[in-house]
Amino acid sequence: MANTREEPGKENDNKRELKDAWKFFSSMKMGIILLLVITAMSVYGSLLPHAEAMDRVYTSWWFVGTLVLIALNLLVCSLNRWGGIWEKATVVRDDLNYKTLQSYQNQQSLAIPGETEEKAAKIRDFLLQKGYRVGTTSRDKGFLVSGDKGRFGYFGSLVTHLSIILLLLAGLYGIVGGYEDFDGGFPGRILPVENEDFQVRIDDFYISYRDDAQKSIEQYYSELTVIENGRTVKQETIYVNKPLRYKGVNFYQSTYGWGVETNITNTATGEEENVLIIPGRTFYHNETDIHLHLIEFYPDFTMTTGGMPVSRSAYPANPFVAYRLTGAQGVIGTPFQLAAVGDRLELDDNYMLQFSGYRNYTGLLIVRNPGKSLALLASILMIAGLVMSFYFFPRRVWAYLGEETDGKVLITGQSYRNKVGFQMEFDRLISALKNKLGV
Amino acid sequence: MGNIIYWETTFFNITFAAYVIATLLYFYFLLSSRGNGGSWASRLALTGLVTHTVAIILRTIEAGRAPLSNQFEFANVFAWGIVLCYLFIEWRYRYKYRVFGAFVMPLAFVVIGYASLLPKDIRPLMPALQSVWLTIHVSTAIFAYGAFTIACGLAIMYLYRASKERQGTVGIILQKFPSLDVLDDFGYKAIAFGFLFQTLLIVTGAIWGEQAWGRYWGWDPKETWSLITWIIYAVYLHARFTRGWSGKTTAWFAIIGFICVLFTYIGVNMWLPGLHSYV
Repeated sequence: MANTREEPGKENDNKRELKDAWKFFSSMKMGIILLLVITAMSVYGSLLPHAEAMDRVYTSWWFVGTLVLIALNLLVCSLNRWGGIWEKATVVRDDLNYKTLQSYQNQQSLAIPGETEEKAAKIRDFLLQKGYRVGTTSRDKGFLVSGDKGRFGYFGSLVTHLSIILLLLAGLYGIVGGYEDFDGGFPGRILPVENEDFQVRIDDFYISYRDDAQKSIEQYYSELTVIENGRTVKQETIYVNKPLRYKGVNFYQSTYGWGVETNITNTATGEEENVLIIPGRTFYHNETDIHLHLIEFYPDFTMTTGGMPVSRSAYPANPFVAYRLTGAQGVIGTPFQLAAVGDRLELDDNYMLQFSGYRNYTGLLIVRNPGKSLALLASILMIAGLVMSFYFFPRRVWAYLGEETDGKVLITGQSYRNKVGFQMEFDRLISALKNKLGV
Repeated sequence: MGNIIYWETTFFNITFAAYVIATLLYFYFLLSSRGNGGSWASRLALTGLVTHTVAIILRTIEAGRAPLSNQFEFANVFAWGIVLCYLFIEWRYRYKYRVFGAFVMPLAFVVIGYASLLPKDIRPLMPALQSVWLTIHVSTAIFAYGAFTIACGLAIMYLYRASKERQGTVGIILQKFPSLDVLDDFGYKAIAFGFLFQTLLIVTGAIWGEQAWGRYWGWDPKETWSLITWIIYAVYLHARFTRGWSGKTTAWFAIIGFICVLFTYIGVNMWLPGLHSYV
């Protein structure tokens, strides 16, 4: 491509090539290509399991790199177009000739009575009244009245494009300046909050069940207290869809679980030991040298026809515990034992074991995302930009009288965005004009 | 209570029948040499829309909430949205473009047919769905998807006309079609409207996601596919202003976009489970 020209030197050719490359990079075609590339990548990501997609696609250098290229393309494209848009929006075009006007889709010739200047003034007033911005130029033996409306719409795409850049920046800011953490515990626990000078105490957690056959879950509630410098500063009950927000840190009801209250009694002395064991964890009892591994808690225990233990619902209607005991000689009894809550079991000759109760713990998602407000602002801008683009469509009308029109006034109109709608509007405009002038 | 369910079912069935008959009448209008039956097609479609609205109101009363929370409920309002958007266009342009009905009503019929195959029982809402954003978020989807469906019908018309014009055969069907320019312009308008609502759909989803799940965007398959849909229509909107891209190319994008809509709504649930598994 560079060597087809004869005269200019190599340096000039290089410059030209660079310029062409830059022009292509900042073009709308490039934008479309980038959008299709990011689409293909997203389709690929959506087909992978979510955790894997997050790791291998959405946070990969090639995905993020494509997003950066999109932002740059949008930025350059917006800057390039700014001048043209500004001119279109601020200047009414009045340099058109008869030939161009005649090529427009909507047109009508009207015989308007009166002197030339009178005609121009009448049309001018009419268009002003209809909300058009109007300019009049005299032509030899005639005039050109130019009007436009909806020029606000010219800025729509610019606003939308800038909002996308802001949105990407908001995402970046959220990732760099924010964090996501998971914590929780049984009521009474005080959670430290990373890098903040306040703490959050879990006062209570409870589940409300519906009164239906399945005892379905209506809602999960955690009562939280924010403590700052030893003082209570905020108290709130959170549930799914209602987080606690304090100083930019948000606490979401995310999950819950069970803890089994376990009681071990020395049958000789009557001495008791009470521990709270979470399913999946193991408790070591020193005196008997036995490991008690709590396999599972079934709030509403039943056996499937295939003999598998399951929980019918989350409601503790028939609480059972699956566990395993391991002594110095290995597993005691079967490796999978079941006991109802309340049953008294023999741990060894001197100790009794009882699962005496159960309690819920709450799991909270703790999030700080400083990019959130910017993202919301960008979203509002985007919607505003789209409304401007789609519903404030620019349209122009001209009224021309000249040698070619035979004393009549040629009225033409043009809109690139909304052809059919404008056609109807143009027809209405013409009949209103006829009405007003009585022709 | 039982009575309301009975009436909801009855009104749903009447609606279904009305849409079927309206579809057939639009076909008759399309195929008959003088374009007979058009006004009856419109009347039937309007009757269907009215009974459909009644059915939706009855379900709202039964459920004690907006009926927008599972595959059936969304298919139901999706079909409603298509017919509403379509009849609005018919009325707005003074019944001049009734021929669109022959390409849009069959799609509404398919969607309500899909709804009729799904379990209709009313279930209480799980905790994540108990939010005012459910109504706002899903309502935006009704209009976005309704408009995209119409754009798909128009794109099919465009491609049909373009291919017939190239062959040089203009029969009784094509005579009723508006010009390619008009088809393209209507398609653009439907997509512009749909695109605005698709944006609102994603934004309201983001606001809700932040409240319920702690993040406004998380690349959940449903979120990702709504973004893919958005991008495809964004490409459509730009392709129209790109030199060298014919109306046919953009018409294909309108069809691909609609396939993405259907995939977001149905395919994602079938094959790509995520946080959005309920709808």
